[in-house]
Amino acid sequence: MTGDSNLIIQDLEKRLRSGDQQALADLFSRERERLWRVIHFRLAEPLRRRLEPDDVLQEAFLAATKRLDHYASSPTTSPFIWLRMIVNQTLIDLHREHLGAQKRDASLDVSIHAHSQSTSASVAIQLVGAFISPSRAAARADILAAVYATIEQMDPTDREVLALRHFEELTNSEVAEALGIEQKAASIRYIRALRRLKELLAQIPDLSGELHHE
Amino acid sequence: MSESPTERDPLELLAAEYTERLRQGHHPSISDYAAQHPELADEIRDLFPTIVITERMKTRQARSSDGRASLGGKTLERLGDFRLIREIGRGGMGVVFEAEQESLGRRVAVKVLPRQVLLDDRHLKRFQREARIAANLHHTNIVEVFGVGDQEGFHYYVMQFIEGVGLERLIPELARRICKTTLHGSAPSAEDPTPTDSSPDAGSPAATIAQLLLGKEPGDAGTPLPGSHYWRSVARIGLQAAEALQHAHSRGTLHRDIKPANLLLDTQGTVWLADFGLAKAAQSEDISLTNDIVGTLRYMAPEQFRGTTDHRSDIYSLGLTLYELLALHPAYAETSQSRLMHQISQGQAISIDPPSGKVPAELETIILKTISHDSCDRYSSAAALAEDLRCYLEDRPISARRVSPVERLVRWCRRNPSLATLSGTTLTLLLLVAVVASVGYLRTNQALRGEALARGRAEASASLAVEALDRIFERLSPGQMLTPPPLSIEGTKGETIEIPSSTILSRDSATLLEGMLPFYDRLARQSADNDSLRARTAEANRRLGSIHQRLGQFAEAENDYQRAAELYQKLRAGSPSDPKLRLDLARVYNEWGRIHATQQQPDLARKSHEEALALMETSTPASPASAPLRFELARTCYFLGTRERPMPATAPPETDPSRSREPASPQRNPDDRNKLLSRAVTVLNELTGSPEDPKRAPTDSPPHPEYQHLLALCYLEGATDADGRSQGRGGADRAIEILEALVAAFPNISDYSFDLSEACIRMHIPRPPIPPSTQEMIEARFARSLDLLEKLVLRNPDIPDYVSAAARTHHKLGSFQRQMDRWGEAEQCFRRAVALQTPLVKQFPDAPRPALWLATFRIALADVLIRKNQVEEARSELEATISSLLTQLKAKPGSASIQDILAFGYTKLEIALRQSGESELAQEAARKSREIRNTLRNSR
Repeated sequence: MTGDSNLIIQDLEKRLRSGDQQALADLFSRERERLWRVIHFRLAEPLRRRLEPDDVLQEAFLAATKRLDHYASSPTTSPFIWLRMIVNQTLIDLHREHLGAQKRDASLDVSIHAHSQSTSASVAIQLVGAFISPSRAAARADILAAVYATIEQMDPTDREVLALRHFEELTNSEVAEALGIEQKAASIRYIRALRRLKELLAQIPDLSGELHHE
Repeated sequence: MSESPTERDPLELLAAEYTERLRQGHHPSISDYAAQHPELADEIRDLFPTIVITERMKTRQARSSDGRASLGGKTLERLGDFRLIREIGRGGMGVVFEAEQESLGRRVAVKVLPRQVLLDDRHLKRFQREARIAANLHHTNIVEVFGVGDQEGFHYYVMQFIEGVGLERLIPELARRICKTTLHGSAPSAEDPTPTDSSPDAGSPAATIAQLLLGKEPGDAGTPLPGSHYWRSVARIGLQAAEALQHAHSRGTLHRDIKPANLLLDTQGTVWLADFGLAKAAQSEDISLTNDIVGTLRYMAPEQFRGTTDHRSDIYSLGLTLYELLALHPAYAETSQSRLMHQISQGQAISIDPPSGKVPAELETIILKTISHDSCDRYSSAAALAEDLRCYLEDRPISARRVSPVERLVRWCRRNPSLATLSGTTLTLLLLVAVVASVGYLRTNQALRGEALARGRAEASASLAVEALDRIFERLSPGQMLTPPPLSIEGTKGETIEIPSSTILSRDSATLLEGMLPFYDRLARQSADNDSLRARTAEANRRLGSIHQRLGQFAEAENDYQRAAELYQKLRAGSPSDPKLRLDLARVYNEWGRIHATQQQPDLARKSHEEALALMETSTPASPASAPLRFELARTCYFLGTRERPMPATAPPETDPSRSREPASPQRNPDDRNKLLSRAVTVLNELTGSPEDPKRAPTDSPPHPEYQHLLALCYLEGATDADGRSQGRGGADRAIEILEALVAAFPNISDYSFDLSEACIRMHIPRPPIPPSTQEMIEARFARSLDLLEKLVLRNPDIPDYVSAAARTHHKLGSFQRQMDRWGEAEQCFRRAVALQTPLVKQFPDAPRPALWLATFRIALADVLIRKNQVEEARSELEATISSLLTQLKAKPGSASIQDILAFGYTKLEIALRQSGESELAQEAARKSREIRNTLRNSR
């Protein structure tokens, strides 16, 4: 992060805390990409057919404008983490609205985002998407199930740390803030989770070849 | 937010750096990393491939800092067969070049999308599909699409080259020309999105085409205002665009992004619709939602926000574009995205109001139909729109009808489903208002044009509208003269702390009242150039103020009152002795005072009422004051004589009887108050023509119920006087007597029933032992009060004040029963209070007071349960209450009232815990209670 953009963020933060709607718009367009990733990552499969991440973003922006005053009066998190929370809340609401109670499938309800797609499922889908070329689509479902089962074995916090770092592109300090843990802990957790992921993926025959360097 | 590297795992730091470089498109080598960090080499080799894999799928986003498409600094000279000549435009979606297709030797336009866009297979396919569909549209008014291609990761879109100008550039040019000749003289909008030839001189295409539309020779000094030639030019543009749309729609293709920038006009006056289907193709790509979003949002139909789009959305967007051509400014000018969306989805009625000249009524009617909020109110097809425009151009009658205000109201109602719960009468009244207000408005306009005859009528209908609105208004929100009793709780030293309650409107009523604002607003904003109209305007402002007041929008209400006061003062300057004006102004001051009172500004409140009083006192001399004026005088005296903190309805009875009421700082002394109240009583008795004689209290249908009503309130206010208890009892009795008569005569006026129910329970309950006769009286009063409230709630389920009054009354009755050691009855009462209050808390989650009342009721219930030895239930009741209070405290840190109740709750919890033998926990609760009380004491 360059000094310049640090200054811009500080300025944004200041304006935001005075309830400046324009600052919110600025922050939103600045963080748009990462927020989009949050949605892209958390949007449950059945909903993808009905909702574009951009729709969710739009909703979230509206929600944020409504809640700006509240945030401005008592900011408890950094602006990005606040926006991310709103995006997550919007997702939860949309999932509720669209999927209703049917989504309360206990097997999927393991993530801290109880109503949106569970982190395990999301991670599995993303990973398999990365490995499997469209030509091997037939194998996809099997591998997806295997990866899902694998991810499920991980410690929930480790899983979350991985997802936040790679799929939502949060920095270490943001991960710490989002999960309410120390930066040091977040850092250690990340490496531990990465290691665990590697071990687990290595057990899936179709994938093991990809994991060896050079 | 600075990372502190020292605390972080060194491997994690490296991994973060590595990931960052991957994301930036470098291809950092894992071996290099391992070599540079030998101490971590093994782990790097072990883990970094997993990072690569995890990051690999990530996408596909064009980074552009200013929202416009960027080609990443790359200068393009050729794309396949196409030699790029010059950049001609740049939008959110891509960069447009003029180019030559060398194989065919023809000139084309090429739109190049930024490189990282469309990397995803799915999107690429969609882009290609949409381009194919667009390429199948062949129409004289649609820019032809030749095909798509890609090279070096750049996807492009090849189109017919049009030697023309986008309307987004033409409109500012037109505005500049027209404004130059009018008073405004403002420069054209500076937001010309094209860097090239941004200042069109006389020879530029924009200037030429502008002249063409205005029907003037280029170089004509002082271009006159747009005239019929211009209106017809706009109609012709609309006609061509509508025909192009019809062509596309009949082939199942929607444009989805019609806006001025997508309508090109060439020097022949031909319209070209560009970018068909591109919006869809780019949907969900980042580029479609960059900073450019507002440029697109502004022309989106309201239903598109809800995710439904059909051909009528295109018609709407075309309508807004034509609107802008006529008005020379956007229909929705808001630059903030959220407010823009709000504006559009509210569909606030807009009329076309160009900077100069008047748009022909038929053309305006056509355009307004295309931009109806509900798609079913628009033209059913682009062909129908084209046909109407053709009729207009050929001077044949058009099919569109002007939407009357009544219809607009009906449509508004349709958009507000909460109206379904309203009674038919209210809806009828609303319609009446719409009719009257619109007639009044038209007549007002005529009057302003100087048609003397119309003047009287304008005024009459305006006043009729105001009256009809008032009637609705009263139905929606009971006009309480009596401030509901405040919530009162035990303070740290056993003193009573009161939280004023304020009227909460049901959501439906609030919605409706808000909906009435525009009607009043229109009346309030008419520029009155004669005194009688000015008086109406002032009156409308006053009503506007009272709506805002009921909605709790006090700042707005004060504004309205201020405007009303200014207008009245202006009027008074003309005729200083007019008693009517004096009365109206006094009313404004009084209402203003009441706002101050609700906002806990007793000084300001008193000042306002005193100003009203002074106004009316100067009126007495020669001419006798009119009855309404004397009534207002009595009201003013009543307001001034009212205790600024009304007596608490619910003081926990076991609190120390010697508790000292906190002296309210600017409290008027009791003598003064009594004088004011007796003055009010005297005036009112004079008005009713009856001496102060209880026997003459109205028995059958009193002629002036409002006098009687106020009289009762004055007596009641005397009754609650702190030191005049004996006299007070007589007062309360008299108040009840009068109110009973009023309720008997007007059983349907809720205010009377409500005030009677309050009057019944505004009594001093003596300490036991209570003589049986008094006891009987007290019980009868409670029963009467509850009976009235029950009926009120049944009749007006949507007025929360009644429910909450019922809850409070049960609570008070419960306290009485507890005092009488009737534990079972007390428990029933408190349970009832809790049951009534709970839904209110759910209904108004943001209003703190209902929740505080509920907490008070639950603590009272727990207290009784403790006495009845149902300690377990008491304990869980208390714990739940405390936890909800803690949540509230988090939302409103430092709130004294919450902390007070909380301390009280902990005290009760301590007792409950001690009874169940949990002495440690009990001590903990006691400690917390003490702690809170100490904090409070220190802060006070």
